Amino acid sequence: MSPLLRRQAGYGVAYITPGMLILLVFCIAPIFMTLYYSFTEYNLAQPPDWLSLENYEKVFTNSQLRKAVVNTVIYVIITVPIQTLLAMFVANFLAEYLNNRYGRFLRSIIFIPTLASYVAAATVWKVILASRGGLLNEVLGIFGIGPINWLGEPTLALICVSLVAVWKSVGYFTIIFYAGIMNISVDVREAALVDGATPRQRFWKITVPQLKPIIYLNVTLGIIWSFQAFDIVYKLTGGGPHNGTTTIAYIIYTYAFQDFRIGYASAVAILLLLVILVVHLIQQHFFEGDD
Amino acid sequence: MKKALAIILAAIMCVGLLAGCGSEPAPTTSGGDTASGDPVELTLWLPIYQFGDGISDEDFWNGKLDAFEEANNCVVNLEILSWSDYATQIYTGLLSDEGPDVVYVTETYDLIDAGLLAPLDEYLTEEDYEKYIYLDQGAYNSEGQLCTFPMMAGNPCVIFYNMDMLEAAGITELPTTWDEFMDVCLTLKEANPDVWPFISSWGATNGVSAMLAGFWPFFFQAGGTVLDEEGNLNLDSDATLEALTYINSFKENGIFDDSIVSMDDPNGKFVNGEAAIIINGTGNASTFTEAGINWQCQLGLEGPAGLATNMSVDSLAISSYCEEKELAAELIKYITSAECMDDYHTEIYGMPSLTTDATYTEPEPFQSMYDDYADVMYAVPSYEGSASFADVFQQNVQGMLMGEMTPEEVISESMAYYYDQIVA
Repeated sequence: MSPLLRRQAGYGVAYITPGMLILLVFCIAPIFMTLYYSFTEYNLAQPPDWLSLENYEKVFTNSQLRKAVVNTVIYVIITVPIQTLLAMFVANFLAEYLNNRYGRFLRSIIFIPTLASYVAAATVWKVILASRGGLLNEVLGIFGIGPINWLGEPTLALICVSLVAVWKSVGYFTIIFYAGIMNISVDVREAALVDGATPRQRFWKITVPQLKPIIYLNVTLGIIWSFQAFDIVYKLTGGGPHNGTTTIAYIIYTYAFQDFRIGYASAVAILLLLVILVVHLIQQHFFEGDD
Repeated sequence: MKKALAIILAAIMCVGLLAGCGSEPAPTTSGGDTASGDPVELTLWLPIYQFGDGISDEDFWNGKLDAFEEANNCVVNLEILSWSDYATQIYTGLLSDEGPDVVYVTETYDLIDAGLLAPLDEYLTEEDYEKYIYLDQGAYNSEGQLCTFPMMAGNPCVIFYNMDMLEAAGITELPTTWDEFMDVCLTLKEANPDVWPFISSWGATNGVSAMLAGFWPFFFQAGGTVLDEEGNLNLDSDATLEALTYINSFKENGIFDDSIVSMDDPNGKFVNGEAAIIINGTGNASTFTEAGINWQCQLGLEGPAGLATNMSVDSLAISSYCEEKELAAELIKYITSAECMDDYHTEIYGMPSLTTDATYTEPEPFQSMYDDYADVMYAVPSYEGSASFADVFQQNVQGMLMGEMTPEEVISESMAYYYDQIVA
């Protein structure tokens, strides 16, 4: 290697070292620590006791956790497609038809739920979804529709929680899609216009294919964040009714930070990591296959 | 030049990162006379109890602690914590070895089990045992040593009635038994179908809150004991079955509607006149008075085993790493003395007096309850996995109230979880 290349390599190493150290200390090492703790009984105060596979045996016989896995998967299936498609359509509408000051105002409005804390959002939605005297039921009552027990029925509660999560995150994904659309070459879009492409054709034939990396990013983030759903469940339903909205992350929180059973919570966390990895690999395969 | 600058900055970041990760904690002056003669420092963590417009907890305690600091040549660093995730704040604070020396604790099992609290016996005298009324309600470690010193003992879950609603329904006498209580609820429902006759927080965001006023009073009225002689959870009992069957009868009789499983604010409903009866701690009475509710209350109902209800016992404790435990114990005794607590109960939060020489009395009818019925107020002890067990129990009760489980199934499923997932 020439001195110049060696020097450049040295610069490269120097530049990436801080970032790598941060990544190593705060991301990589905790994963391996969690993996180790998952084989132990550990309460943070005393040294971990090696248990071998005992935690995992308990994990696979935990009926509450099985329900949480099912709920989490349903939650992901509801939230990710809806928030991705909705954000893409809204971003396209803003870029195509409202690329002016009104559009900028609307973008800000859409982004507000993203800025709101989950606690505030859950509190507001709790008032809206209350079965007696709730805003939504009051509005439905005007049309002669009787009160609906939105958060008191497991399936309906899970759908409500998922839709509140979509409401909370759609603004964030809209902004990313919007940036992606504005990055599409003007030449391509003008060429399509000149060729007489309809708005629908422009969207499906130009915008969507050009946005593929952004779609991949948003779907990936959406899946990861949805699998980690906790705050909205914690504040809106507490996992109820009858475990109808209990998620994996909610269970991890309870085991780790209320019961301080860090070893057991780590085993559940590793399970969640594996589930996310598998889903991510499937998703990656899907996107690569499409290429 | 730019490259050199970038490398220097990168190197500084690396060193900073490594220094941050590897640095030893600075030696603390907490607990012990310093060589330089500086005053000893103690760190005190208390939760917020001032929920009204009066003097803040911080101002109150700083005012009181001045005398202690002067008498003992020490500095007490006070920190007032919010109630949000309180147990987690305390646990993680005590883990750091730089957290509190003296701390207010609620759930004690995990703290004692992890060895985070110091035994107090050697700092207590016979006089203390005579003077402090609730000392026997403290929590003990496996060696039978007292580890917590009760500071707030009381706030029993009592039944509040909206007397205007009861009178409008033609009810002139408060019920005393389970059957009479059910009859009153049915009468209220018939008289005014738009309000909840009786309401419970079975939709609370955690099981501990849901069980507090929704389950434990009925459990104790049915003669239940929370732990057996070995300290294991004892909910696989006839008392649990009787309590759950009674709770379920509220749903079967239409007293609870479908929304009971998502109900997390019964206080708000009672204050707004949307519910006629609730069970809640006596500490809520002032809120009801301020809201203009014409309320009356009674300690509880006579269940199959007689009159009973649950109360809270929260305590002060010394961290195991505290180096000045004797001084910390003195601080605890000072805080819980009549000198402090008489004013605290008047200005911050009313509770029964802790010592025989205290002069504060709770407003009626609560003082009479403490005087006449102290022996039927039971504290719910802390036990292993209490938070997640309570969550599971609450979810199963929700299943029962939705008609998906029987009371027997609630018990068997919950206890199976306790044995298989918590103590296995």
